[in-house]
Amino acid sequence: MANLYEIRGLNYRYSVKNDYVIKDLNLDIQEGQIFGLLGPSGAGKSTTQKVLIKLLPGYEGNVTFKGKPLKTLNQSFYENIGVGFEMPVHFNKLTADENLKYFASLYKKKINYRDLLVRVGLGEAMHQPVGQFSKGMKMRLNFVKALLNDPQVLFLDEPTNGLDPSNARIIKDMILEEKKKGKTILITTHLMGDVEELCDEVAFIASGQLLETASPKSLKLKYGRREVKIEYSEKEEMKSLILPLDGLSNHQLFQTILKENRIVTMHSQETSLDKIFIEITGKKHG
Amino acid sequence: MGKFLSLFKGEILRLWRYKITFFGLLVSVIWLVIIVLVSEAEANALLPQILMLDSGLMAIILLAAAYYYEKQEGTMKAVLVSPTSPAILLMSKVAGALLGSVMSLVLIWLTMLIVHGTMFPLLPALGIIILVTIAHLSLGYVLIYLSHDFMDLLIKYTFVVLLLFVPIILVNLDIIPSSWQWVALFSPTFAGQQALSHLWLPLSDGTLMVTLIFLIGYPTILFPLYVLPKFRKEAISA
Repeated sequence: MANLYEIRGLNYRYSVKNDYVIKDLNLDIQEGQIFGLLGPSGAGKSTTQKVLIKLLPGYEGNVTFKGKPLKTLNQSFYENIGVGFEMPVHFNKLTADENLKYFASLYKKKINYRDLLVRVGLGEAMHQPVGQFSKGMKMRLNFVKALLNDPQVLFLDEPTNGLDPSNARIIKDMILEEKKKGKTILITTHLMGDVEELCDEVAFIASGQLLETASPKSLKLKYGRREVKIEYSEKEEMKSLILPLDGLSNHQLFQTILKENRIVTMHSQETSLDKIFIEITGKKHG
Repeated sequence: MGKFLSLFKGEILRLWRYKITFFGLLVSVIWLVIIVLVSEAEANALLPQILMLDSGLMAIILLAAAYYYEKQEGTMKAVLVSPTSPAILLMSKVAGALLGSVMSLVLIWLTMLIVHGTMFPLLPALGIIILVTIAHLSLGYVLIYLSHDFMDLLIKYTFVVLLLFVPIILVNLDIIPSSWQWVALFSPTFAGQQALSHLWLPLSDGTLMVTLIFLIGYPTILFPLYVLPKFRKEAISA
């Protein structure tokens, strides 16, 4: 797959008086994948996203979009870009329908946004002022707004933040559907469950620096501990121990437990992305 | 042009829903009541000041109110990630603010016609009102950029209004000699009042020309060199 974005030596600071919030970032984002930008609060994820959507033009380094320098692209760049900001941005005194009608009028490509409103459960509320919406409803409207122009590239900042599990499920399913259509999706999130479920590749950023780029699966392989936790009863007393998964069948202690005690539970100790997140971002910047 | 119209329509709807148009009209009603209560001669004498207050100083307040609502909601940021240039977005906002001044002018013109049976030249008045409003809106944006929030803006606005009115007071009290009155034109409020007075008491061609140059000068310099370059940065800092 071709690279959609190529980021080389990206540095950014909000003013000359401030420190750099992004430091020498090098990253490739391939077309057609769901790419997760992860890191603790204030790591520089949202700033990176703002650079990529041309909201922050004064950066140092080279960023190309489909091989062309991002700085040389004009406003038509946005015809194929959809952005869902972390904090939902809507005209609160306008209805959901009026909000979407207004933003849809700014694009050449049109979709039937009312179908999407129905899909995310806002069909009946579309004529209500957005100011009366709950946080979850605003988030869902935010997501629909990002899809208004049927974009080829979708930027989503914490897309399931504040959503109940069933609505989060709908949004995640829709994100996966967009991917199936060949779209590239960049997600910024703290929710490792979403990352595991959605992302093909993730980049960990802390203190403005790239720490690791890999697929969630290979991260688990790299950072995961192949261990098994065994709980067993020995003379009516519950005991537990953790043994390496590799070579378990020949492990002497394991053989003894099997012969002499009753095993109550046995679980493989797969490292979660949460732990990997803490390990990667905490190790170097804790 | 299509983008501008879309943004302009959206701006009109927004100004209406956020009751900014309503408050603008409410202020216009105050002017209408004054016009109804005074004689025709008094009304004619007051009109340049009334139109100046409405299209100049009120326009700044209404622009700021609309701006801070939008900044609070972060919606300008959302428009800036659409295929719309900041210049067109800014133009739509200026046009939206202009509409309030134009509506007020038309209401005042109709009231003069209905109540006092007199008409002042509407089209030249419209031209001058547009110039006065745009000049003051350019100053309004400078004030907005220099203020942290709406309250801070109101404090700075009070100071600026005093500053803008000083030349008018000095000229009226004959403290500035007539040969130096052009200096007072640096105040767009004085320049606006001068230009509006021309509708009732014509100025010499030279004076009118200098007055209009001052009025046109402010937006011509401020919008491209200060307001527009900072517009994106201010919008995304919301």
